[in-house]
Amino acid sequence: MKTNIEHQIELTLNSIDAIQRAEISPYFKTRMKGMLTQIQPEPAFFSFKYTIAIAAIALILTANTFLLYQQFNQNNSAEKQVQSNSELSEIYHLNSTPVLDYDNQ
Amino acid sequence: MSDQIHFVALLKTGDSGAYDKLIEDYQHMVYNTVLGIVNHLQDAEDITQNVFIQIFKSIDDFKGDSKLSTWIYRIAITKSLEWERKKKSKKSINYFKNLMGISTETIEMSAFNHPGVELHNKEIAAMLFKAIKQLPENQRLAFVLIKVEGLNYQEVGEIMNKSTKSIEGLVLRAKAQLKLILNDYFSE
Repeated sequence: MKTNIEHQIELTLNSIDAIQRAEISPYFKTRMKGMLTQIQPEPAFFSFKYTIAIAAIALILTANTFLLYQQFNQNNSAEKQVQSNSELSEIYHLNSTPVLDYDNQ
Repeated sequence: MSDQIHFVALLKTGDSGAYDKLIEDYQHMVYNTVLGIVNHLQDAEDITQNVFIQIFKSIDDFKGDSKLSTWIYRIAITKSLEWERKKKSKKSINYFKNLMGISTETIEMSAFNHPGVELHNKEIAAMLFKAIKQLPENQRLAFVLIKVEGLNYQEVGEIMNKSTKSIEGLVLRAKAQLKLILNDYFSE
């Protein structure tokens, strides 16, 4: 029994020793040629995609930088305005007690 | 080798004559390699199409470090394994759908009859292909490339990026494993 199984295993393992090549459909080549004419090579496609992506990133970064710069400038001018206002008020004693303060006299 | 450089240069320019020759020269090689892995005639033809499309798309990536055929074998193997993984996950989804009663799609479990096997060996060869499917991936690839595709150890080593010794080891282990699997079949 054991030798019979071993024999069957050997036969099975050797069953593809004389295997022939399978033939692909005779229309495969024609079909394939038609398909390839409709496809663009990948590198060109990829470079196009990457160009668009890089351009979009650059645009977003530029817009962000511009907005930040504007914000920074606005803050600076506001600070300067406050500073000059306080300087002026100091020069003209605007914060001092009014001369005609009847309530406190 | 210089012929290959010239031929690849033509492919890179998109020369239609070069592509005709490429398909003519390699269609059977690709188809048989894929068929040996996926064990399905129609799927093998679809994957062969995908392989040529991939070659067309990424020919600029071929640097000529290996033979063109080695590069094509690698693409064929990668595409076949990708296809198998997709099919396996689709099968699992269908299985669960069937369990839940959502789908009535049947799970395909037919035996594979390789058209190149002699008629009197068809039945046992189908059994062998079923057993080969159960091997670990590397053993299966090495075994198929040597026994079905008829390549030598060195060629398989170049395709799988392994030494000739390790390919020999993989094939030996594959044979031992197949004997165990077949022993189970015949003992039932």
